Amino acid sequence: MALLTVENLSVGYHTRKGFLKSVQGVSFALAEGESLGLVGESGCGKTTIGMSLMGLLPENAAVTDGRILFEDKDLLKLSKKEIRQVRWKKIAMIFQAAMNALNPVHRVSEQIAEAILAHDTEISEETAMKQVESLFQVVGIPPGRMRDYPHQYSGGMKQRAIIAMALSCNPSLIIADEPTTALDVIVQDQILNAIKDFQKRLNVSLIFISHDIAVVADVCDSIGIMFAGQLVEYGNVKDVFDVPMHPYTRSLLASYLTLDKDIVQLDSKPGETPDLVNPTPGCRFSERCALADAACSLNTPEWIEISPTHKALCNQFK
Amino acid sequence: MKDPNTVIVQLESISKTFRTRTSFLKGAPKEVVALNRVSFEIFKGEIFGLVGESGSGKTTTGRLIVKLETPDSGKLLVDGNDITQIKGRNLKNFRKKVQMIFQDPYQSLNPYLSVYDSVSEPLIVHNVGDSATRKDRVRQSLKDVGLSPPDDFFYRYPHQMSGGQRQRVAIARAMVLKPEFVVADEPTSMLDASIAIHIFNILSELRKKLNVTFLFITHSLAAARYLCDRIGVIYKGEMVETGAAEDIIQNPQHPYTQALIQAHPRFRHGPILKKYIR
Amino acid sequence: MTVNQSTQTSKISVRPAKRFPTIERLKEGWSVYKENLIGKIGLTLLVIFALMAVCSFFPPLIDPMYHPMTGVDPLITHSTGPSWRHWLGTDFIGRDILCQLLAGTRIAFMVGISAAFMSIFLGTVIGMIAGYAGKIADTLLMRLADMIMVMPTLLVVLILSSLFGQLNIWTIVLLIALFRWPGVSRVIRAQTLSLKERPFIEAAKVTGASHFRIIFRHIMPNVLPLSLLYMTFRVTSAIIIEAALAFLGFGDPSTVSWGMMLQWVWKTGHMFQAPYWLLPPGICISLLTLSFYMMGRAMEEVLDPRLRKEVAQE
Repeated sequence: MALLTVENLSVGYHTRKGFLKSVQGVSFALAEGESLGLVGESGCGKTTIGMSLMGLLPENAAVTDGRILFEDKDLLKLSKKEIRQVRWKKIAMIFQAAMNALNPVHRVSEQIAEAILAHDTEISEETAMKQVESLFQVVGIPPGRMRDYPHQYSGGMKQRAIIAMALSCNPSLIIADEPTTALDVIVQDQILNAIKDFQKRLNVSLIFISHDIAVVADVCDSIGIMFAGQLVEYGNVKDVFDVPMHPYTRSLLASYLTLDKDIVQLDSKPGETPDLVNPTPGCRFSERCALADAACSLNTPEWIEISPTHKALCNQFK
Repeated sequence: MKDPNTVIVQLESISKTFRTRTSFLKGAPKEVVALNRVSFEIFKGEIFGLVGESGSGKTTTGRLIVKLETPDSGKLLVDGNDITQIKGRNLKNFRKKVQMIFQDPYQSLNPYLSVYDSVSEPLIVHNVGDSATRKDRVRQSLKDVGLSPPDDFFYRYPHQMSGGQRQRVAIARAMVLKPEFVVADEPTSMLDASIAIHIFNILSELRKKLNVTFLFITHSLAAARYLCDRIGVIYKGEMVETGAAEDIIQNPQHPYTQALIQAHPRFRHGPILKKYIR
Repeated sequence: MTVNQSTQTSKISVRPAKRFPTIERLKEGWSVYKENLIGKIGLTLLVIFALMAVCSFFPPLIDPMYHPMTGVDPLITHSTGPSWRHWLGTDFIGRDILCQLLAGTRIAFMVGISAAFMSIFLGTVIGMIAGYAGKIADTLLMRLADMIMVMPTLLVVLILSSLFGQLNIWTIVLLIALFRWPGVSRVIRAQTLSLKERPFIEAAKVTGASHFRIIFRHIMPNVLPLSLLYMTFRVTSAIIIEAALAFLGFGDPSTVSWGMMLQWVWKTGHMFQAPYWLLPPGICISLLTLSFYMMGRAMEEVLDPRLRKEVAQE
């Protein structure tokens, strides 16, 4: 049974230019212990999805449609108090610029112990510290660094500490929003390995939000490709990468620079993000699409099922 | 076009140390060595990639070459002349030849200047031509970076453009004087992948068209490999390896370069992928 | 390789190029401003006062006895209350209070805006130079600013005017301007310091732009909105200082200002006998300074997006 089911989620922001439809009709499901990657360029709505799951949307945002079922409860219908109980205890988040989230005047271990104590009043301080110690082991911080202050940590170590903090309340779902974007390649590799490791070991579900398609391919079981607020391709990582269907997925893969293959001059189409205040009724990718014909910009694209674990939102393959 | 015999920029044992200003209570100021005796040269007409992680000194190198910073020691030759001490008229002539493209297109354009004002500024500063010729040069420069028809962009302001368009305006500004040498400091790190490729292609076209030499600073080996003829890998203020781009990737000598290549994200999926990833 | 370009950008450029973005920017600012209640009240008050200032030119044309300074109603020899002939009454020698009040509005605007403009001009230029130049120039200018800032403006002007006798209104304006720039220059300097590190300034440097060009072409437009904001606050303080000086008897005796009117009420012993004479200038001083202050607050919101409320309008 699915731990999390998102059905037809639509979220928008009230802005000066009008109501910006940031996420439209997104549906996916996540089983216990499964990891899902959400990939797309900036402004495609992937962070907004993470924020709606956490109940942390800013004041000018509004959920216009859909349900978020988590452990059979609709998160969108919960009161503020109830949502606070779910947040961090059941669903935790690793933010984009998480390294700055540590308070510089307290020891790292104490900050995490505090987070544990805040959500579990039963246990003693010593038990909390014990838990921190084992958490540090999970994320790969040497026990000798327990008593350090944040400024004594490198960027990668801080990110590990933040991951430990997210894990501190034994959540069943972790949302990682670009957790390695600010890090250097070598550190990124280490953090990704740490994430893969704890995810397997603790059997926690993971939603991994990233702009880097190779990183997601490496970490996740299934993948959702997002474009302009919509999910355009969704499925098992292996299926999606074996036969990428949606032209946007293909263009993402084509513009990915690797070290392995021969260099080919890539044809580039600069991508302007479509207008999300008045989105076209047709396919939003049609303007940039190599396969698009006149019908594409008029007809609403529909999902086609390539296999039970793979589908794409495109009218070209019907 | 590419001329392996003419050195255009040469760094000889360049060092640079920054002193962090500390408060009264913390005691002595800390010294951060940004560059430690770095030497390399860039040949005329090539794109030289400088690869390193944050804090490695790669940006400092670029800033030294365009004279936004002055080295503590060492020689920096551009066209055979040492530029570390130049001032006044010589400096102004130097500025005409050497330009820079900055990392963040949201920050590198003055929000209060229109595209025309920004791109024409170098021409005005260096007193190039009358207003009609300047207009032509600006028009040409915008066309070169793919902003066409250029007249439609003249009176746009940075906030009315996307990140990719802004960066192209910044490139047009750097190119309008037809410089000999341009430092591009992570010009795509704030942009999405498809736009980044587009920017790379523009730079590559410009190199052919204007016969300009580039120093391309990046944290991504893959980007350097795509765009550059030669690559230098910099680590903790020291140049650890330089060589032809493909040699560095295929046959890295230094352990740090090997680690970089090892850590680079790669796809581990089926053979069909080959069709899409090139 | 083809940079597949022309089709793409031509699609985007269908939008008409905006030729006057400064006007666009003002329009956008106005749309934020007009949603601010305090700003609207301030602006309404200001418009009323501006009308009053314009009206001040008419009464002397109707009848010389309505001249605020020299026009005396020959039928009246002492202060009288409101009547049809004198809507707000007359002062102790039979001059019309309404006419004086209108003339005072004009003077208040003149003093407030010119003193504020001068101090803002000084403060902005000095602040930009100090912030941009740094080092010794910065230290010198800012210590000078500190020195002037700690001097009590009112007291110093009082001492100066007792030394040199009655000061001309323009001298007073100049003195206020000379004493009120340091606050502005500190703010502008801080702003310049942060702008100086921004890449677009470095880009201009790499281009070869001179320091002069960088300061006035690149930094100034970016600090000007802030200067404008401070101008509204400076208008307030200039009006209050001028009123205080005039009330204490150090104003320009040849002009009719609100402070001067208050001084006449007080000197002739009408303080508690003639509320029709005491209240109008007092209320006007408060309301005009309040209106500038309110406008400043609203402008602050226009300039600082963080203060903007973009709440869901459902």
